[in-house]
This record gives sequence, C-alpha cells and structure tokens, in this order.
Amino acid sequence: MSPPMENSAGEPVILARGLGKTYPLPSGEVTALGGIDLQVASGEFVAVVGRSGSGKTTLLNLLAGIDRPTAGEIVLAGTPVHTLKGSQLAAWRGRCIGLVFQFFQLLPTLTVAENVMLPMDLCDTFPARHRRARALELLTEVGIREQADKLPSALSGGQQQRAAIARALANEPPVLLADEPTGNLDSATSDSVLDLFAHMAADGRTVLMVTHERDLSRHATRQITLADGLISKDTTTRSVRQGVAS
Amino acid sequence: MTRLRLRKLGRDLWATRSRVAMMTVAIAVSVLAVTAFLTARAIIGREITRNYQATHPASATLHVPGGVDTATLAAARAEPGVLDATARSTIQARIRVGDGPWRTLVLFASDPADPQRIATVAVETGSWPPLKGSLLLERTALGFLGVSTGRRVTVEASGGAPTPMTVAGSVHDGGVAPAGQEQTAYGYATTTALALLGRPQTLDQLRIVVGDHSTASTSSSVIDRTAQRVAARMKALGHPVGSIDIPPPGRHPHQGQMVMVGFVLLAFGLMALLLASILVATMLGGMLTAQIRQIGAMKAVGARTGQILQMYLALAAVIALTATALALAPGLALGRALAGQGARLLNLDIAGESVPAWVYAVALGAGVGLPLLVALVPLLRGSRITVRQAIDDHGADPAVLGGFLERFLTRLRGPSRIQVMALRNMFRRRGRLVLSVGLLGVAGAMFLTGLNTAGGWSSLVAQSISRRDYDIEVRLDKAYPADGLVALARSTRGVVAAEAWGRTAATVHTAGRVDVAHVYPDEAHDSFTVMAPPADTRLMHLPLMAGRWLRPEDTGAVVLNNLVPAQQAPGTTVGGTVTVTIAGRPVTRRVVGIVSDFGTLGAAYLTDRDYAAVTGAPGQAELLRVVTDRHDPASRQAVLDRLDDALTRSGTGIQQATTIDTLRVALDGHVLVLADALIALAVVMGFVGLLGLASALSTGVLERTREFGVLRTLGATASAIRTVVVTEGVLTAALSLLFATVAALPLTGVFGNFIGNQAFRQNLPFEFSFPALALWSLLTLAGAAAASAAAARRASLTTVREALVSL
Repeated sequence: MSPPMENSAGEPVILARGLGKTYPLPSGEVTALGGIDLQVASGEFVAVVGRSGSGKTTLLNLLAGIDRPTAGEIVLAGTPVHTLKGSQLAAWRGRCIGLVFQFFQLLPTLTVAENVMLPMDLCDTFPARHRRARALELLTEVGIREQADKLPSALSGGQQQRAAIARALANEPPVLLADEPTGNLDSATSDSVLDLFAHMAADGRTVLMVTHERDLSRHATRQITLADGLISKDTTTRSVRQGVAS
Repeated sequence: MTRLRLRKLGRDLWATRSRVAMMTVAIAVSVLAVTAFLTARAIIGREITRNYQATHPASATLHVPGGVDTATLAAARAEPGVLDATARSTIQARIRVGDGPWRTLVLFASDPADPQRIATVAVETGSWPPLKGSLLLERTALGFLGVSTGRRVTVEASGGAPTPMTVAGSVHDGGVAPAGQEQTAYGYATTTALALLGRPQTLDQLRIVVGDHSTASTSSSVIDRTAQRVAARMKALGHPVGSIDIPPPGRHPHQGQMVMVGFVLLAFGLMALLLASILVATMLGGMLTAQIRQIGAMKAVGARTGQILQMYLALAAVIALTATALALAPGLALGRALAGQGARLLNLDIAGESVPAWVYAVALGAGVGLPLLVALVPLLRGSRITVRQAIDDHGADPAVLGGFLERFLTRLRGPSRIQVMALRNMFRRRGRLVLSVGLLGVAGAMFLTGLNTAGGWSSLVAQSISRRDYDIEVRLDKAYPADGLVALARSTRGVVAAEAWGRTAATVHTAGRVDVAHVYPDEAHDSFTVMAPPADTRLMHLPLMAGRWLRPEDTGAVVLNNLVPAQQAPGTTVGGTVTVTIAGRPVTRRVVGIVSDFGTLGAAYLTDRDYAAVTGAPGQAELLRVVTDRHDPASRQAVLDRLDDALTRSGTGIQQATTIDTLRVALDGHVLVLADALIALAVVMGFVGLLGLASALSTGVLERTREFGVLRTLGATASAIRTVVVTEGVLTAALSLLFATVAALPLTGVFGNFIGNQAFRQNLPFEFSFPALALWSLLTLAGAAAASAAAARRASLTTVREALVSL
C-alpha cells in the first residue's frame, strides 16, 4: 500500500471548510478556532505555528478526529471525518492518520518493535506474520533498527520520538499529524526528526505539524500561522517538488 | 485477543504484580470462604437428611395409654397409607456413673423381637437386643457421662428406684442431638429393662410410617390425616389414643439451626466476595487511571473501545480466574473440614464427602463472574475515554472543593499547609473517597455486626439464665403436696428459697380431633408444657412481648411463651383463645400475654388457682425450683445432691433434677456454633476490608505520581509527601470507622433479630461490642498508616523526571 498523492477526485488530502471550535466555560463560550478554511495537498509538509492559545492544537485534534468541531467540516483522505462516530473514528484514525506526540506516548511495557506493530495489530492491516518484519523495516527507515527489542525507557528522547514516528507510519497512513514533536528534544535531535518528516513528505505523505518553532523554512514546504483561532498567514516556503528534491 | 496484546497484558500484570497479588489474594480469600461455606452446607445438608432418614423415623407417634398389643399393631399396619408400624415406649429417667451427678436419660424401649425397622439405630459396639439388666447408650452419651462399654451405671426411671445396669454397647442414633449439647443421655433397652426399672412392660407408643407404596410421606397434612384415621381405628379397637406426635417430616431436630448457620456463613461469604469484587474494581479503576495515557496512545493509533475493554477485561479475568483456581481446592478442603466439625456437633456420620457440581458452578460463577461484573463499571468508563481526555490527563482531578469545605480548609489555621493539602486531597476525589470509605466502612460494619451478633448470642444465653432467679430445678414424676415440697427444700442445707410449681405436658386441642403435637421422639424438641407458678412467684421474670402477665385473680387466662404461637398454635395472638388438653381434658383459655423466653420448651402459664381447678388437685405441684445460698456450679451441685437425697428419702419421685449451670451448658451448646461462625466470618470481612484500604491508598498515590513530581520540583521533601499521604490514609480510615460504627448499629439489630428468629424464634438482645470496635479501630488506623507509608515511600522513590513524564 502506498499513500495516495491525491484522492481519486483530485481533491486535496486535507480539506477543512468553515472549521470552528468553541468551548463552553462557566464564564462564557471561548472560541478556540473561528471558522477556518484549509486545503493541504499530498506531499506537503505543513508547519502550523502560532502562540499558545492560537488554536494550533485544536486544529490538529479536529483533523485527527480527537476532538469534534462545533462548526464546519473536514474531509481527510476522502473521508468526511466529522460524520464518523466512536469505533468508526478509531478504525479510520488507525488506518488514515499517523499521530506523533510531544511526549512520544510509547507503551512502556511493549518493546519498540512491538509498539510499532501495535497499530497493525489493532487495525488488522497486515498479516500477523509480516508485522514484525514491517516494524523492523520502519525502524530501519527512522534509523533505530538496533533498538527494536528494547523497552522505550531504555531509549533516548530522540530515539523514542523516532520510534513514535515509525509507529505512526505502521499502517501506511496518507497523513501524518504531529503535535509539538520536537518540543521535548534538543536542537540536533529536533533537526533530525524534522528531516525525517521532510523525507516522508517528499515520499508523498502529507505531514502537518503543530509547533512553536518559527523558522521551519529549511524543512516545511508551507507555514500556516494561527492567531486567535484564525489563519493569519499562509506561506509556501518551498514548492513540494523542492521539498522532495531536498 | 492477539499475541501482541496478550504480551502487553502479561507485562502489565507483571509490572503491577504487587497490586495484582493484592487483588488476587482478596478474591481468593473470599472465594475460599464462599467455596468452604457452600461445600460445608452441601455436605451437611445432604448428610443430615441422610442420617435422619437412615433411622427410618416414624412419621407419627400415637400415645396409647392402654398399651399397644399385637392385634392393634397388626390393625395399624393394615390401615391404608400406613407403610409400617411398631410399638415402643419412651421413659424419662436419670442416669449416674458411680457417685457422679445424675444426668437426664431418655430411654427408648422396644420389644426384644422388634425388627427395628422404625426409629432404627446403628449398633456400633455390643449387640441388639441388650441382655437383661443392660442398655445401649447413644455414642455421644458415653463421653457425656464419662462411661464406656461394660461399665455399670445406675438408672432411675421416673418414680422408680435406682437400678444398677450395664452399658452393653453404643449406638449411633441419627435422629437425636448430641448428648453434650442437650445435656441429656439417650439409652436403648428392651421391655425387660422397663420391668427392672419398676415400670410396666407395656409399650404405650404406636409409631407409624405414613407413605405411598414404599416411600415415606413428607407431607404433614397427609401424615396428620392418616394418623387421625389410625387413632380412630385404635379407639374402635378399644385402645384410645391420648395424643399424637408428628415431628416435621424428614427434618432432623437441629436442621433449622444448621440451615441458619449455613445461611449466615453464605451471606457473610458473599458479602466478603462482593467487597473483594468492589476492591478489584477499585484497583482496576486505579490501574486504568494510571494507564490512561496508554489508552489514549492506543486509541490514537486505532484502538477501538471494544478492543481496550477486551484487554482490561481479560486482565480482570486472569486475576479472577487465578484467584478462583487458587482458592477452589483449599476451599473444598476447608469446607470438608467444616462439614466434619458440623457433623461432630450434630452427631452425624458423613458417608461421603463428594461435593455436588452446583457448588463448583456457584464458586466459579461467584469467583469469576462477580468480580468481572463489578469490574465492568470502571473498565467501561476507562475504556470509553477519548484520546483527547487521555492526552489531557495529568493525574490531577480538576474538580475543586466547593462551598463550606473550601472555605473551611482555606481558613484553617494550625495544621501545616501540607496537612491541609492532605485534607483537600481527600475530598477532591470524592468518588474515590466514597469508595474507600464505603469499602472499609462496609467491611468494618460487617466485622462489628459479626462480633456484635456473636455477643448477642452469648447475651441471649446470659439473659435467659438471668431471668431464671433459681439455681436448681427438680421435675417430679407426679404431683406432690406443694407445701411439703417447699418445706422439705427449705430444710435442706444451702437452700434459701423454694417454690413449688404446677407442671404438666400438654397438647393444643382441636375439637373433634386427637391432639397433635409437633414434637420429636426425644420428647424435648418442640414439646409443650403447662406451667403454674405460685401467684407471688419470685423465681422467674420473663419480658412481655405483648399483653400482660397473669394476675392472681385471673381465671380462664393464659400467658404463652413465644414458642407456642410459633410452633404449637400458629396464629394465636393476645386477645384470642387457645384450647389445650391438660390432664386429658380440653381447656380453653383467653390469651392475655405472650412472653419471650429462650432455653425452654413451648409453655403456657396458668395461675396456680386455675391450674388446681383444671387438674382437680389443689395444692399439688410437679416442679420444684430452689434458690441456693451460693451460686457457683460446685455449690449448686452440692445443694442439688442434698436436695435429691432428701426428696428420695421422703419418697418423692424425681424425673429430672438439674442446676441452672446444666441449662447454660445446653444453651451454649446450641448457640456457640453460630457465634463461632460469626467470629470467623468477621475475621474474613476484616481481612478483605484491610486489603481494600491498602489497595485504595496505593491506587490513590499511583494516580498522583505526577502531582508528587510537581511538588518535588517545588521543593517538597520525601517526608512532606509522606505526611500528605499518611495523613490522608489515616483520615480516610477514621472516616470509615465512623461509617462502620454508625452502620453497625442498625445492621446488628436487623441481622440479630433475623437470625435469632430463624434459629430460635427469638430476637437477639442488642449488643455492641466495644472491644470489637477498639480492635477494628486499631487495625484500620494502624493498617492505614502502614499501607499509606508504604505507598508514600514508593512515591518518594520515583524521580521527578519519571514522575513528570510517566505514561
């Protein structure tokens, strides 16, 4: 299975229309996302930046189906996410989205390889006998093949994040969503993780990353700046082809 | 489930092995208790019936004063519905070994040629029939009397002379209670022994087995109808029947007591299991809380709620199955041991220790099903958590205290902020606090209820004894002049007061029918007497349950004890009438009061004047009650011996003479088994409760690992964190103590009255055991301090980094 560059109708891989999210609080309603429109094509590496409270994580959570929008709609890899419920959402997420978190969220009692095998196991995407081989392949891809049979606690932060990226890729999702993936890493390790994302985008996956870091021009193909729940700036830093070339 | 998920499950179990062990032990102990109780109940229930049936008990005993001859016996056998019949006699007598004390002897006599097909006993030593001048004793009587086969004993039939006899052997009679428990020996002899004892050789009981084809009937009404028909036939043949005894069909005299013990054991066992299940649910809930981010991570990579639930249910199932597997064999062994103990108490032979399949099924269902069912609640909640909730979880509850508590804690001066924080923590997770306090509180309440009820049984015996203001009771073989009896007693050294009472056996009468008493062949269990105390009696004071006590001027009035409406005359209430046959004459009296009495037979009290009128023998008495100058058992026995001599010398026939201590021993024998069972169960409940406390505290600490990490980054020392945790633990335990104490009060009352009425048709006196409260307080407070200190120690060993990034 290989990620689609674009869906059959030629639509963007990520499509959000009038996407809004408000939270009811005792003091009144708070708008986290004020109705944004967004289109992301296959092979783009989008960095979503902005200050705390600008709505970055809310946007990512809505795209990943972790949270539900109060307005608008999302079509991701051809699926109208906002219409999915419970278990459908979980199954869809497992197959179509790769999620990477700031604190890695590896399961501590599973080895690194087992962590990578877990999405395949839960979504039953690969035959059981092929899963370990695939996990090792992915770990080789992210450069930590030799750590495969260790528990996450034995790995450095950067290695854990690489393992988490390998796990996110396990089911060959067309979209990779990352929430502050470098927030817990030193700058050198951050660079290598971002390189990894850039390579994935270059390989045709769509990567959308939420980050505090401002200067991502070396890695990302596009930078979206959020402010007060709205897109204040949407800059193409390099063309997708340039990204692929780099 | 896939191998990968099984691997995670296995490693999660190993990673939390101390908590898993705690859960497993809690369930195992409860399942062990439930299995043991079920096993004991199943074996005893089966064996008590088998033992009793093995005696081929008579369905009914017809008292034929004129005696039963061969012709009437044949006529009875020929009656439709009568499967078999035999003639017997039961003699009230006394027995002593050497110069030892006289003991009550119930002597069952039959013809030497009697085939012993009815009321059969199993001869264990010696042979049937015993030779002339000898008797067989029920096996429990040997120990009770301190005699062995071949020894000489002295037997004195009521109204007869002391007669030396030889113990020719022993039998097992599955139809009578153990001699020690009843303080009565049971003997078996032929009619030749009756002659030796100065009694006519007439067999005055016709015992019949009622049934269809070859099966004895278990229907009281069928037995009653047949017995009435046989009685009519006897009358037609010139052998009128005085009364009929119909014991509860197929039920051992102590079956009710045993059923109650079984019920109590099972109720407590299931309660312990329920507590253990709640404990497991709490701990699993805690584990889920600790793994909340893992659940989030799994859901983020595609896990569905069902898959998560399946994993954690499997974890719960592994624990429950392991616990059940561990508990089953010891539970069965303990149950068999308990059954053996019960059999000794009831004088039963256990033919087989096989346990019916339903016991395994129930134990398995209870051990696996109940914990899983209870665990479903937190598991469903935990597995339904969304990725968002999981990722947002930081181990701290956003709930804040509201209103009064918050203001109180904010303004609280005196305790350090760390202690205030412990207080705030306690109330912050109200659900967990309620669960912890509830779990330990319920265990404590059951612990206290168990011990309070055990105390209630002892108190019931003590109360019963204290209401008898006499030390010695002498039942006479017939009526004697009351004044003479009192004078003779008073002249005996050591006697300070004496009263002579009227006393005679009675039956409830229904016009047009031969009187039926629901009494066992030992003529003790469920029997009924009429008593006539002197108008100014000072030797007995019984509490009124309804109505009033007798007045000297009363005629036509009767006071019943609580057993009569329960056993002999159901539905009788104050204001109604009851007709009883006294001295062969039906007498109708208005019920003016019902008194509560424990340790006696069903009794109807008449004034002495009324009694004299009914019996036609004024100034006569059949019962002597005496107060001694000293009240220790040895002194009472010494006075009894002297009184016995004096009465015998004066030609007064003694049917039975006992001190109040004998009654106490007999009553203790009846209630101790219940009290002991309750104490054992209280210990099980306490154990489960303390495990619950330890687990709840460690769960609480685990959930707040990150919070403690934050505290430590702010400079909190390990000892400060320990203070928070230990203070919280001890306060939780203190709250649970309060709950347990308050809950135990009504529980003791309700439970005590329920089992008291079921076993002895008697409310239990309310007892609150302060030593039990002190013990439970010590256990919970010390246990809380120790458990929370251990949990706090583990928390303080976690590095700040580990605490902050823990998944």
